[in-house]
Amino acid sequence: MTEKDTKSPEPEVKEERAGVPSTATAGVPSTATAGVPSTATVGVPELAAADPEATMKIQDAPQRRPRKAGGAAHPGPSAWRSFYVVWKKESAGFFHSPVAYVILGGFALLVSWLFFDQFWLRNEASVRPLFAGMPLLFLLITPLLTMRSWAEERSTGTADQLFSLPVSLPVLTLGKAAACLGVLLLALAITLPYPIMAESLGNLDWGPVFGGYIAAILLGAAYVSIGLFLSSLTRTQIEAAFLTFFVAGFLYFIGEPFFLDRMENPQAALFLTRLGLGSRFSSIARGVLDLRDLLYYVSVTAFFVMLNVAVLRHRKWL
Amino acid sequence: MIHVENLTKHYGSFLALDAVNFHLDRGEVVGFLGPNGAGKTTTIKILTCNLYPESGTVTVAGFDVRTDELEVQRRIGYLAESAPLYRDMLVREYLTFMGEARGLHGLPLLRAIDRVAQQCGIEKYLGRPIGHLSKGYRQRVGLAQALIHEPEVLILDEPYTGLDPLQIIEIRNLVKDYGRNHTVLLSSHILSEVEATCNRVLIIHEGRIVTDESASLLLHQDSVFARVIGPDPEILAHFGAFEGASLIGSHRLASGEGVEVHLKPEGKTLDALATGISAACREKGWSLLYLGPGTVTFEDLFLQFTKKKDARA
Repeated sequence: MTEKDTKSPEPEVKEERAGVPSTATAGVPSTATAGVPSTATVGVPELAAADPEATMKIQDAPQRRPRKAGGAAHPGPSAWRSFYVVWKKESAGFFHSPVAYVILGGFALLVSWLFFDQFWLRNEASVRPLFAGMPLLFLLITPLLTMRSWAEERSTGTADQLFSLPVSLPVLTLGKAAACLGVLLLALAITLPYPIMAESLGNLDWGPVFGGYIAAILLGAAYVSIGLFLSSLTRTQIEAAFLTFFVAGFLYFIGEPFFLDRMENPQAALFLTRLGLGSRFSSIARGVLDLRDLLYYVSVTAFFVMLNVAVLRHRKWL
Repeated sequence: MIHVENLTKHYGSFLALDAVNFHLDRGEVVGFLGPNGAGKTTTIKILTCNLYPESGTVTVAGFDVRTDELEVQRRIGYLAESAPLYRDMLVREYLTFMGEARGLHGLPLLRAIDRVAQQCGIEKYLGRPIGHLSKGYRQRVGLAQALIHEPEVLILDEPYTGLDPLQIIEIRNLVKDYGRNHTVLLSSHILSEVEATCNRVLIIHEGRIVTDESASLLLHQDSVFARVIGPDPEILAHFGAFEGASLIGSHRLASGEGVEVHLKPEGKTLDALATGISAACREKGWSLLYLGPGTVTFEDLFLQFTKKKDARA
């Protein structure tokens, strides 16, 4: 009853409004007659009042012409959806340019060299050398992945457009980080045939293999967050890449034996071991999962992601 | 729709915006004019949440740009200066990303892409990499992206740069049409474009709004333009001290072709002034070749307002 009442004055109301031809009703003549409790048609007269609910329902109605009446905004994507959208765009960006292919190709070559170098000599089914080389390999490829993330957006001006989107800064940052980490995961996927091959030739201990992969992912996330943060500070990709290489490299090497062996003070050496990015890697890669090690990598990553967001936010105040 | 009150912004010690005030309603297409470095882009960056205001309040559709950033961003479509785009993306891919980031997906997104592609005349280019497009087409892709979610507020920073005259007319009509039911703020320093597109004009100079008026009011300032043949000095002297009017411009043509005078009434109607001019010519025996409404160009106005500001400072 009431529905019919509201429907009947509708064409008149539409005509009065600046003579806009009633696109919605013309486009869907069937909905009114078919007795569908169509929210779309009921919503139309309320367009003038800019009822947000009404306009949003209208959008589902099939229309030929662009809707003229302005209304409320789209509800906007959820944070998860925005994250996915940013991740998708960034990932696609890697594969649009030769960057990702070059990186993955180079990585595959180096990995096969690491694996086969002494594989037959050692005469044991182990992939340990593979993971031992991983921190250095990642140190080489991560700066190349993260360098363009923010620096390129800023130098081409697309950042202006990006920051006008209804996506919060943490979501943008995490989306970009996830895309970089995704390429590192792909790189790790390239190495999967090696443990399988080792298994087929001998008796492989899978504990260190799983540990190695987990350690590589954690270390990769830490490298990526450092690289992304540094990319947000620089204007050119080259600067970003070199800075990342040196900063991440420094954080890695301060925990490495060849550096610590030269230290006089054992307490300082212990402190640096705990701080270094690499020392915890080897213990996880041996298959020893310690919660403290996991927390260490997670907090390093979180710290640099937060710094990154802080830089972006600070820039809005300049 | 847009409320800006006492907006101030410094870049270091440089005062970029100095207590800027303006309001835009729905259905307005407002031109934002000013010389380079006047504060146009700064204001636009604040409206699009690329920069935070230092002091003052800025709201878009009732939402504050500081406290409700995402709500503001949902309601605006923005084309940044010189249309920065991801050059290695395909046009369709780019529009998909911008649409999805604003909450569109599935069938409504596909429809929205078709709609804006048709509106902006880029249907044939959807499958091309953006980097291969000419400047004019990139500008159109930028505009399409800004329109994809039918934003309540459309903000265009220099939308006409790099377009050829035909493209300018198309885009101008599109913007005018969109502005009937939405709010459009477009910045430019091409005065004729603002004149043709906008119904209101804000002129900004050195971080201050120096004028905020309807375009027709600005352009059709009441004045009378006349071409008179007779003894030049006498004509100039006579109209220079004409009763109830002030001479805003005069031009001596080649000898024998007369003098052009541009008079503004003071305390008189336009008709009374015109009658007075024709009567004066008859009385003196001069021939009146032309008598009509005077027009002010935007260039005149622009210089007039920016100079006024300089003189005051």
